[in-house]
Amino acid sequence: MKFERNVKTKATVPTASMGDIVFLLLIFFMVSTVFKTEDGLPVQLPRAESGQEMKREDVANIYVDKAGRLSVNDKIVDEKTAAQLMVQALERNPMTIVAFQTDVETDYEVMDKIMEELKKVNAVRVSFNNKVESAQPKY
Amino acid sequence: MAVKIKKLRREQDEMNMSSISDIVFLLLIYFMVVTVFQQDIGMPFILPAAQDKQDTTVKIKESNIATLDITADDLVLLDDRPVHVNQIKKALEKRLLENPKLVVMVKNDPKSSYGMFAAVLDEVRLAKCRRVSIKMAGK
Repeated sequence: MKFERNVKTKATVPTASMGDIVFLLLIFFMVSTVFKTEDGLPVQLPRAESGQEMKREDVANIYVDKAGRLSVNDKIVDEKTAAQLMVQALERNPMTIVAFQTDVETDYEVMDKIMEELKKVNAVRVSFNNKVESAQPKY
Repeated sequence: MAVKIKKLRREQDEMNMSSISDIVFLLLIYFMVVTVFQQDIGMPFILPAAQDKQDTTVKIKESNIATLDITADDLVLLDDRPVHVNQIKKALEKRLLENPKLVVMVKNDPKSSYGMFAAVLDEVRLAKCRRVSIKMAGK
């Protein structure tokens, strides 16, 4: 008596390692991604309720710390150079907004000097950047 | 006599991994959608350009101006009367109702702090004043 063997061949692709591959890709891109950031200067921004969001690509930052130092593109500059750099930004993108990242304790005269230089070079769209108002008192 | 034939069955004790990639993809897509990049928030302002200062200087009637003085020790005066920062919005709203042509002039002492200026500007913006001018005292 002959018994035929009951052999069923499975024709499936093994998908058990798919998850590993996807994880690997995810981790690879997470590790290799570098966000373009500007360090600027350490500043404590003022709090305000009426601030509005701006398009990232239109913003050119000027950092001003409480000692009155200016930083543009991570370089310490004076007011005139800062204004010139803003002109260059305006040439690249006419919609550029000059965003002041200024510390709350900065003397106002520092800001006035910068704004005077900006007026001279016709960079008139500015923004006073702030943090979102929280429960803490404003000032 | 009956012959009993035992079926040769190989037990599969592997977990089904085919759905893990779906789960990982789902997580990946969820985080991609949910991630919000930190947006810059600021109070936009258009500076008066230096070029057209001579030709287009606008004379404003004294009665249409509300002056906000910020003193060197960060006190705020609305038309020479001391006012608390939190009350500026209400006061200006009242003035705007009386006179829709109101122009708000923020006059900063050179030694006043930027934080106070930002707080005052925030209040002015919250009061929906469209015509705002910024200058430094003693110029």
